[in-house]
Amino acid sequence: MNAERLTEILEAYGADPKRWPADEHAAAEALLAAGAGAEALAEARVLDAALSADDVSAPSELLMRRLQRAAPRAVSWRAAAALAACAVLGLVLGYGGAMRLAPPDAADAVFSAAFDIDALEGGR
Amino acid sequence: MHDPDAALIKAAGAGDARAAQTLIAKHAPRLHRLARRMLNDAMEAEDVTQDVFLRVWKQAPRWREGEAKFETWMHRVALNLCYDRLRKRRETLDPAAGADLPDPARGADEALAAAQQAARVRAALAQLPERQRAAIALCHFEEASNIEAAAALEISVDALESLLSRGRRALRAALADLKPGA
Repeated sequence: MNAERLTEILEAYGADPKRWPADEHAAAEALLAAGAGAEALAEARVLDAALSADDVSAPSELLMRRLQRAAPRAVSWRAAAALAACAVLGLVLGYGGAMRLAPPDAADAVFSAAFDIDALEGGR
Repeated sequence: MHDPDAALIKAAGAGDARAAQTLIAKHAPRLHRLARRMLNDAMEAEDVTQDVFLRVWKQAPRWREGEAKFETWMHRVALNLCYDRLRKRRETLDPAAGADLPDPARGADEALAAAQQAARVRAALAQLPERQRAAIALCHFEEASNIEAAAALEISVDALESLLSRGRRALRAALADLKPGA
């Protein structure tokens, strides 16, 4: 690494080595220790300090609860079994109820024909 | 590339509430800060954070480890949502949007001075072009690595460094009179 690259790093990432590119970290530290980049380091430190004033507050508790409520929920085997049991019961009751009804007879056919317009017109 | 969140996402997608809670605790504050710095508006930042997580929960059952880390993908989604909102602001020219004021509840002089400094920094950030602001929010404030930040912004590391240098230069000019700790 040369002094020019060290200056580029300080201008882009600031004075704190924790923000520097990992693969250039050691070389940059060594070059700084040798006295290079002092002016760029000082300028970067001033800006880093100014930026530290921007202390953004944490998200609200309400938001954290909303995020949790929206998370996927597992369907427990008990809930799934209860749902299946309801479906089976509904089928059984529905089928049984239908079987108790009287089958259609001749009176039903006459009643239906009374509301069949085509049949009525044809009958004139 | 191993994704440290892979197991958590899989568990959350299967309905594990504890895994979901861990993901929220780990990522929601970062996403919120990122959106807050992009939009300079606390309420909009919460909306963006919620929108990101709605996409996370939708995606979680199908998530597979791939090219992007889960966190990088979330940052990308958050930034795109922020860009959309900033574009709508420009279209509607809403002067009230993105103008958070210092919190008067803090009261004391010291707190007020700190809030005013923070407001100065936010105003300076708000003046930066969106991509420079995003680069600085990720690399400086969230301390993302250059590789992660470049991936979130979908640019090369060289392009990221260019955004960072130009952004920091503009901030230095805008905040030249700001005395640290004053």
